[in-house]
Amino acid sequence: MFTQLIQTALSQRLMTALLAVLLVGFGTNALLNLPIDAFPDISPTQVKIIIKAPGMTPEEVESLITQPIEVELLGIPDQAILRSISKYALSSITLDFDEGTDIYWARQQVSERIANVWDDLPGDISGGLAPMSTPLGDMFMFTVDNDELDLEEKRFLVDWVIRPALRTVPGVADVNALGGFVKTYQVKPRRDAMVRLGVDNDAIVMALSENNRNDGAGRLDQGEEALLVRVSGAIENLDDIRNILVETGNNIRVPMSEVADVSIGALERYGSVTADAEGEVVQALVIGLRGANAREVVSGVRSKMADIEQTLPAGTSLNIFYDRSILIEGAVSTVTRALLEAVVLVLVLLGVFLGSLRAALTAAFVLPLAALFTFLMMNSLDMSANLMSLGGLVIAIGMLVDSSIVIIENIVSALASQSPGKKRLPHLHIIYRAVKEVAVPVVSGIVIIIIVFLPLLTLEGLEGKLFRPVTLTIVFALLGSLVLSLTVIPALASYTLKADAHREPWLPRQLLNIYRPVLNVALARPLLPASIAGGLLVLTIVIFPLVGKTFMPTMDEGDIIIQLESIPSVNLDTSTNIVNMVEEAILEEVPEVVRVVSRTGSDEIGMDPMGLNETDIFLQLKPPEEWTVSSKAELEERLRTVMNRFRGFNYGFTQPIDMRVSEMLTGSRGDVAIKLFGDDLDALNANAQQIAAMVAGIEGAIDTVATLNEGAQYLQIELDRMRAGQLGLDAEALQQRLRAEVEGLRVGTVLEGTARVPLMILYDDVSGDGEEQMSNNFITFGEGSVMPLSELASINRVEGPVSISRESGRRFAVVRTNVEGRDLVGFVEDARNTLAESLDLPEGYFLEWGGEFENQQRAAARLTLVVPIALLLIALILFLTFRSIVQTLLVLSNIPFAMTGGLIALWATGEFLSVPASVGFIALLGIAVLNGVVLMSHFNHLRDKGLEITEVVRHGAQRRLRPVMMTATICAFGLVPLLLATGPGSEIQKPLAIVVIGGLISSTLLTLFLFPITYRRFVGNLPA
Amino acid sequence: MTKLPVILFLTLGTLRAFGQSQIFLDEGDIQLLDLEFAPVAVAERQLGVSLPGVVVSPPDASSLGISLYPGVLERWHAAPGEAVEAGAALATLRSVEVLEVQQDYQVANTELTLARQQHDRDSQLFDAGIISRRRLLESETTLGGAQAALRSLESQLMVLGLRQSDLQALLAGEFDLGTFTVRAPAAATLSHRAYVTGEHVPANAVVAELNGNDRPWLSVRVPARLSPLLDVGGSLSTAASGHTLTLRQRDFNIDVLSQSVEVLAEFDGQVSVVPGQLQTVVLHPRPGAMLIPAAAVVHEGVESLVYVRNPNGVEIRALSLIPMGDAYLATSGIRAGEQILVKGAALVKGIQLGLGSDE
Repeated sequence: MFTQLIQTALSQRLMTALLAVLLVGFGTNALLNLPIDAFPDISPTQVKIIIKAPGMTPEEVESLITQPIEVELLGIPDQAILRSISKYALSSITLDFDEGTDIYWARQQVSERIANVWDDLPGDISGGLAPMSTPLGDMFMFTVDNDELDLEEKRFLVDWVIRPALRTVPGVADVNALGGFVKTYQVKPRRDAMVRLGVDNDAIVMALSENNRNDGAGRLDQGEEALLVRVSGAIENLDDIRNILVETGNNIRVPMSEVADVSIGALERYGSVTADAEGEVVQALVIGLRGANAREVVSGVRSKMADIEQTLPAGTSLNIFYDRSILIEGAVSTVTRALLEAVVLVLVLLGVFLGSLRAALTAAFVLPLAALFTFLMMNSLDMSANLMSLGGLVIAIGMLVDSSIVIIENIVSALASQSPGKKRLPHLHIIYRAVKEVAVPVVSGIVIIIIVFLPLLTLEGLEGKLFRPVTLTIVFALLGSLVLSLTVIPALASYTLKADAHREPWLPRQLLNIYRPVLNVALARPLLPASIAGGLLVLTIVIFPLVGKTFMPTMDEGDIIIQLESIPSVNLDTSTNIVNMVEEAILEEVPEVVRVVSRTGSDEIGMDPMGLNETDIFLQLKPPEEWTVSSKAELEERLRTVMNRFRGFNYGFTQPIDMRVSEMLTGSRGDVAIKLFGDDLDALNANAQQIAAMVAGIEGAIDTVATLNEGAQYLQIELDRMRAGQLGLDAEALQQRLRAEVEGLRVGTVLEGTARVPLMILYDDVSGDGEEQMSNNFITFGEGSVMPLSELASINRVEGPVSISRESGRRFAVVRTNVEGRDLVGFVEDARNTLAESLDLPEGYFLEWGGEFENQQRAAARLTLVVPIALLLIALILFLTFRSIVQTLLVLSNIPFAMTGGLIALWATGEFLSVPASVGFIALLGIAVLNGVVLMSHFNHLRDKGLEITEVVRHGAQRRLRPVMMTATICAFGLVPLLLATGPGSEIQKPLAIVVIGGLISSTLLTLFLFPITYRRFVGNLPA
Repeated sequence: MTKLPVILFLTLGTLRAFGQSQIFLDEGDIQLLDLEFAPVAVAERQLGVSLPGVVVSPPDASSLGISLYPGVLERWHAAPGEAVEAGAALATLRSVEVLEVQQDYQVANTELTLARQQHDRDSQLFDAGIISRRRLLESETTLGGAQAALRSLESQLMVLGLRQSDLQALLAGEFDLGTFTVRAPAAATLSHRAYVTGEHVPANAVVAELNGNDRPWLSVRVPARLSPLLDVGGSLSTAASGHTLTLRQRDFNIDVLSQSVEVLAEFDGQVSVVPGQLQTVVLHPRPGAMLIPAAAVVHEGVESLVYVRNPNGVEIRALSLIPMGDAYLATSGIRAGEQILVKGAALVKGIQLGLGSDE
């Protein structure tokens, strides 16, 4: 098959060229149309349900809303995990589905189940499915600033001008508004007037509800024309409200102004936004649709913002403080630069090793073509160009030229071996024979490397989503390079390479001069290299436990978020003041911070239901070149110094995407999430605090926190239903009245153009001690009678939980910690041991270890399973190639020595064994085997010619020195740009580069010195 | 759950409570956390619990013109807003029942005259020895009865607003029979006519309302749970205008339906309010209580805590507090002049709970 392919390519060179041109065309088109993002889409198929339940405590939300919905959702097939959180007035339920589940089907299933149970839920709830976004959907954030507008006006702009406009941008799921005040038309009943006139709350509600509507009254015929009748009754301004008549206890009606003050007000707030220690601001957050191209979405949003800004009130500016496209550009440029640098390095090395610019360029021609082929395949599979997929291409660069180098080198040798004067074979024939000679080993080598990477396609979870693109691009690139090496490269070589007297280039000559005597020594004293190799193996075994294990290096996103947590019972104003204080300190003492925007509490939609005591402080940093510190770690240390001076609240560091990914995957933030499952909230809280204290004492623990999930203050009003009933009071009406008392009761909507402004009833502010004021509150009932609320209900101040978290139907509390200065796995082991010794859990309570650690365990388990399978497949291919078990085993024996160098390199550089490093080891497997295959093939070839075994290995090793060194050097140098890169995302690829480069050094040296000895020892006695 | 963990938990909690009575703060902390302290002061009078009240006429002073008999209102003698003297005619009514009383009066007067004549004759005959003493006594008894009957009817007619002159006119046959007059019980201003001319007025109906010239009172319904704050002679004030009142009367029985007690308080000075007007009233604290601003108080479990400054930082002090409007009152556990934390209590509570750095 291959010979046919080679033959066709050489005999139809024009066709081959045309196909290459088509490849260039289509590949370039694919490149230009490739979506570009920072990360591959790592979000699972996830459906989120958000239910708002005004006035309900977390326990009520849990029992009345969360649990019934969870029970209903449990029957949906293909679900992976069900999590929920019940907070004051909010239930948030997240259902993850198995990989590959269609999101629309999933949403449909959830929708149906919710419809089944909706009628059984308390009547006054609202909500449903959250927008179809992912936790990584927060793409773009900006504040709306104008010195002439107040917070309410700015919020109005966001809600009714900016948000509707931005929602038209393709790819935008929603625009979340935060901060400011939501305008309302507010009716404040005067209690004294109500008592005097015998007006109760129901009468006011009814009057407002029934007097706010436009309607059609039908059609009148006028001759041959029709006149449409429209009755205008909707409220348009405050006077309309004031003039609405309200029924009194004396069956007479009085204007609303007699019983209430009517004015513009604001909705009860559940969150605020501050910036730069200058007080409150209004923020908008653009949420992208699932699967949307972030760069395109951001570009569309920016364009739309430019249009909107011109229509906004004079002096209004939209100030961006988070733009995902910056990270995308940074990450992509990091890997693009690495790619280009790798290409240049490879070209230089090719030239140096081949000694011929023509040969080098011919061989290097496979690089852009293979890359274009890769882009074509990526486009057809709807893959994006991101850190990981392009990173795969960088990893493969060194390997892409392998096959073309072997082919070009053989062509050069074959052309040079044509002695002048003798009858020469046709040029094309020489090339054909040269290519055919190496076709099988080239194909085997590529197939081996592809097989080596295939196990990565079986990785699950986050690591699967991250490294699948890497694997696919490597496989595509290698396949492309293989086909091109057998077709386009020989065709090109037929034009570019001539029969020249070939002289060994300078570098290979020097290398040979060094190698020859050392090889001779090794062959004369075989125990010496064997001992060295054995020593290295022993060293590896000793070092392995010392190399820390972790899941993934943390990508530097360039932004920092500080998460604050105050006491659970803090109010919004106090929380905002605390944040203001922190902002001021940061801006004063950390010059690297150019802007601080802080969000306290929850957003309107409820996508991120934080409590009033929780704040995310977003730090916008200057470019690193303007920093006074040398690294981000140092910057964080400086921030920590500032934060540690404050007391009375907890804090932790994270990054925008990192925070969301952790929450998405585990429901909590942090390197390690220790989940304690149990039933009793008090026991969960107490034990969680104990666990936190123990874990905080373990070396490497930092930012250890168990959320203080108690101490929220509730004013519990329990109605005496019999008493209320005796007085003819409707409990529901009373509850409505109480809601109007505290938070406000929405009774309608006033249309202001396209804006829909809530119409609210809200009584006088409950000030001072709310318990006392509520107790003394006189409730009006029937014919002007009054009674203090304390006689209709028991009113007690109680403490309760802030929230109730559940997973798979069980309550849990979580202790979060980050790990610094040591490996994750070692830390978790120590933590496990400590807790096993000192923690005594109640019966039925158990721990689960999650967070990044969970991912690491899963990845390690999967790799432990699939890598041996890959090795078996490689062994099979080797056996099919060499038809000898001994030779197969000899080639495979290269692998441990390759691992040696990789592990020593990790240890020496202080890096941890992570998933990227594991991928590096996997890549090393293939390259190490390839070197063995190259040597083994040539040794066998020389044996077949009848040479004596020592001469076989001496001559063969020297002959193959150049290709082996070329393969190793080009692969290694191809990764040097990744090793030295510093931009966003470079942290993820660096361990891979370290492992491969270190492994290549050991593998190459041991292959060149030890393999000839082992071949002579084990194969030499076998028949040829 | 076994006992041991509970005991341990309680022990730890108690130890924690004792161990946590002091929070160490230096000047740097105070400045950094923007903490503010203020001295505790005695609660001022203007504080208190606000309740709705309604202005009423003084309870001992009659302020109503009442028709004791049913009738038809024939004529008004005063207009709303007009000042009337005590006893001045307010309205004249015509009543069949009153006609009967008046007729009875006339008859009684005639019988009295006859009885007197009979008595005079009998006296002369007794003096002449013609009749016995017994017969004289009989005529004396008849005379006495006739006098009593006349006096009774006279009283009724006077209650009905007839004066002596009217009675004489009645006897002389010069009085409009069947009419009676509702008169002002005291010097006051006619504030309201309850009926119009020609309208039938039932018995015991309020025909007219008057505003007395005495100081008005205020009726307040106070939730029973607040009744310990009520002392007769204690002071109240109106929230809006600041007028002071003195509590004069309070119920000692709780109204079963509303579980509240009614108190009546008299304005201390002349005020321009009218009966029926709603006023928000403030019940004041007892003297000597310390005022604790709401911002200074945090709650942990059932305890109310304040942070009292001392040289090492703050002392955590649990107080028994009485909510009083926007603030609290403490009657013990704290002295005037002690510095308490009035800003930043949430942060200090966080320190108390172990949040944040220990530095």
